[in-house]
Amino acid sequence: MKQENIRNFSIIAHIDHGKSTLADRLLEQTGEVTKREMEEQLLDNMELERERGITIKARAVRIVYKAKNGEEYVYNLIDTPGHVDFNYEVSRSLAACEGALLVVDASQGIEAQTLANTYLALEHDLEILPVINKIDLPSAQPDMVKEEIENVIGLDCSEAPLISAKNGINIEDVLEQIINVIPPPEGDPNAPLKALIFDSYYDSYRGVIVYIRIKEGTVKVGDEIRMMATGAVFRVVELGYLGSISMKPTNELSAGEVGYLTASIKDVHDTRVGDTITTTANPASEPLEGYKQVNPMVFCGIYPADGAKYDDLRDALAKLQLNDAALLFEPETSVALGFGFRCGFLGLLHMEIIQERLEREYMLDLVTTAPSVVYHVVKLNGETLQIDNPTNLPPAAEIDYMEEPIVDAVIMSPNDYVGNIMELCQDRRGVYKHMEYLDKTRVQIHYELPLNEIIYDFFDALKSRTKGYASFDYSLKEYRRSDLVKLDMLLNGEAVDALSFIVHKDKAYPRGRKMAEKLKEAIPRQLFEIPIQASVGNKVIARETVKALRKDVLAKCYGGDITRKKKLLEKQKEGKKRMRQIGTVEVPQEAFMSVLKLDE
Amino acid sequence: MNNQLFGVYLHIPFCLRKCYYCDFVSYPAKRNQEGEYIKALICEMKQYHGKRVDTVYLGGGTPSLLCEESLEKLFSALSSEFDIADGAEITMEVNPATVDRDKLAFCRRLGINRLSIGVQSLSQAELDQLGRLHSPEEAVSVIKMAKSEGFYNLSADIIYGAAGQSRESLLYTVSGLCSLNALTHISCYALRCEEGTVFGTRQKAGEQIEADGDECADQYQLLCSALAQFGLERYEISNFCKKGFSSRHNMKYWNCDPYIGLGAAAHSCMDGRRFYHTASLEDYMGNPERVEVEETLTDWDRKAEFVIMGLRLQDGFSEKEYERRFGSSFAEDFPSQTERFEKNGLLLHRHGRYSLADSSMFISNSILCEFI
Repeated sequence: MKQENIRNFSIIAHIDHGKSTLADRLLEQTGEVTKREMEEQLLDNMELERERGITIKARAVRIVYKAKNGEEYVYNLIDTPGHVDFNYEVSRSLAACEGALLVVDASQGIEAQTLANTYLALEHDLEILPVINKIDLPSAQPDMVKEEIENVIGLDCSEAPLISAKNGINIEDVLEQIINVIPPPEGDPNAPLKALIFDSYYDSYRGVIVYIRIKEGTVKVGDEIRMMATGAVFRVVELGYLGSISMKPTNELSAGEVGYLTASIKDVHDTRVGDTITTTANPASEPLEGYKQVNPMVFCGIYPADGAKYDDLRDALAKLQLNDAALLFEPETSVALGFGFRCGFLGLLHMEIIQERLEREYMLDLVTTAPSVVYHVVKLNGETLQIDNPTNLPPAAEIDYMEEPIVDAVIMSPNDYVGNIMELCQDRRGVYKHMEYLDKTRVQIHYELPLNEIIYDFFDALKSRTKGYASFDYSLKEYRRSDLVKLDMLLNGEAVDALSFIVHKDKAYPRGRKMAEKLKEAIPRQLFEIPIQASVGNKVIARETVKALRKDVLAKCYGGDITRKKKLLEKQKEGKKRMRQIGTVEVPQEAFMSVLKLDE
Repeated sequence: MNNQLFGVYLHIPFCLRKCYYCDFVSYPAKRNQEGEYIKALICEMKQYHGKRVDTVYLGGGTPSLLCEESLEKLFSALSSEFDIADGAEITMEVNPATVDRDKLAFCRRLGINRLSIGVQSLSQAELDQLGRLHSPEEAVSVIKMAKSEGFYNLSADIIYGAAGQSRESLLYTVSGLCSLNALTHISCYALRCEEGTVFGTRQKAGEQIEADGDECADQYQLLCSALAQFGLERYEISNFCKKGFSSRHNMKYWNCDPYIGLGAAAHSCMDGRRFYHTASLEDYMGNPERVEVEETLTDWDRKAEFVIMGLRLQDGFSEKEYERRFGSSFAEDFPSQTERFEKNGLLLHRHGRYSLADSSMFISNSILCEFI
């Protein structure tokens, strides 16, 4: 395929603006997928993605389009996630493209992630084709949205296709405009090979399958290749294009093309997303510019519910990490929970997704601890520590001061909810920066917020205060000195390490009280009364009591029933086994998670 | 083991109407089925010919629904098939709505010497709530009649822990029954919504049927102390009696002694195996000897059952008896449990017996499950 006839692009959008639906239509319209094969939102092929209606992992697919000018074009569509936590994935996908379709909902207009993703695309020098979606909605205002895009982002919208992805209106327009707006790839097929790894996953039969974009040169089956960052050397077993239903093998891929590669790669650590592949015969001297490195912002402990599954958990995390470079993990131990891993995530959603994938795809039963951000601790002796686990916080007497991460937060919302949003941000120790009107009814509010105030339930709180209309994005601004304390939770007088967390001094009391209440709900009554205490230093700041169990009895127990009654007792014993024994107290695994959802 | 003494249970699965809480196997009473069912029971009995028996228990269902002819046939078969010991305890469950003086006198003449009367409550409202067909007055008059017809060993069932049931009304039921000076035994059952019962269905639909756990525990405490004042001491979690009047048949279950269950869904246990029949009336009558499910009990099954059943009793079980049966010591078989529960006072060890502390009785599941 001639380079001039190739177009590599992503689709970017705010969540729910119809990105995946448009992708489905493009596949359908070009005959890449027949109606019969068409499942809704074909590109979201993780079960979890379908359920949540969001794209988590990037996916790529190759489409052949016969244009009105009579020529055939190859479109490589690289799907991107739409959530703030996954900006990294977006950035990774964008690096493999020359352009992007910016999908904007004609009834909603620009949202926080529309902007965030657009800026990311512009950073990668991509050409952007705005697409106005959902024009068939009664509330659609395409002209106003076009104007908004022109004013806020500065993109020309005069030619923007007006479509309904859901009902297949004007999809042809999009397919045609791609040729005009998005430039073909460049790159010399005869130069030394430079192939960018933008995604990968593990297949138990073929080993690691690497998704690549060839920037320079050509790779053939049988070539010996080297991963430039890790130095690992392999021989190419299979190359091919990414069909939406199945892979289509080919003998070579050359500059400008997008496809996959297998090379009997068994160790997941040998292929890093963002690495450059070259050949050993004619190596490139420099790797491609790496991706923007992202650092995890939220940490938590993940433990197998059954200690014997420790190795399984490690293997599962390693496999997830293979195509999720933002996921970090290292071993840690907890008195309460045993052996597990300290894991780092981009944000709370990322954390939840990883937990769910571990549970569903790897059938693991997990216990997770309260999430924490990374704090900077400066000790009196001048030593500086980075603390992502409250358990590792040195004694207060040794600490000179502490710093916490502060983010720049942008919230977009109808102006009716400004009061509610400000109240929420104020309550979360936010500092108001400024506010501007996007149009007559919509505002953009800027706040500085401590990250540890938004990792618990900020999204939910924001949604419920704005009837779901507000959107939210944030980026790390700086570390700032803060009056922080460690809050411990004690069960029957014993501190439970997995329940400790670091919190602003002014928040310690309400949070401790809430935690105690939540634990009281989560811990079942037992043979003895259980005091639950929240303490800072040695000072108890809140207390609840789980009353002793009073009724747990089989009233009727005669001959024939023994088998059945025994089964009831067996079930009860099984239930006890699933709980964590902390001192004399049995704590259900849910208790560790439920306390994180401290509702208002 | 040839001189083993068996308990015999006969299940009579007919009822006028199913009570809302009942999950025992029973069917609407149809006269034409009764004769055939009795025949099946007698047929099943024959395989145990010659076994020595010292307790017989007619339960249900509603055994007091059986006509005199059926009862007569049943008892003549019992005495010809089994070697029934002198002074054997022969109990029949009685629904107050189903008997009159003549029937009671007839039962006495047959050799029945103990009645377990399903009183449940002396409050009409509560009886209606439970789906019982009799009034409090009928229950009281049946007890009086039974006494005058020569039944000196009488038991009554009481239900507590129903939503809306008050402690006052419970006390009224207890004192009303005890002041009749006729009862030697009372069984008190905390209402429990079982799946497949009317209550079970209603509970699933969101109705509150059971009282909350704390209220139920309070009522249990009240029952224990009220019954003690009338001379009825607890000898098992739910059973209270005058001295020497424990249910000898039920004691066999709690002591893990052998028993023969006859009839649909009835369970038998002997020689380390437990087995039972189909619950279907037609299938049972078609082949009364067929065993539906049989379980072979391992040593550990038997040990665990001996402990969890024995600890239901006020006096618990004897460590000597444990050693005699299993050839090992209880404390060595269950070292961590024994140590932990003894240490925190939930399990008592005295006079060569292990038993639960009084305060552990109503939370016994949390302790017993650790021995499984």
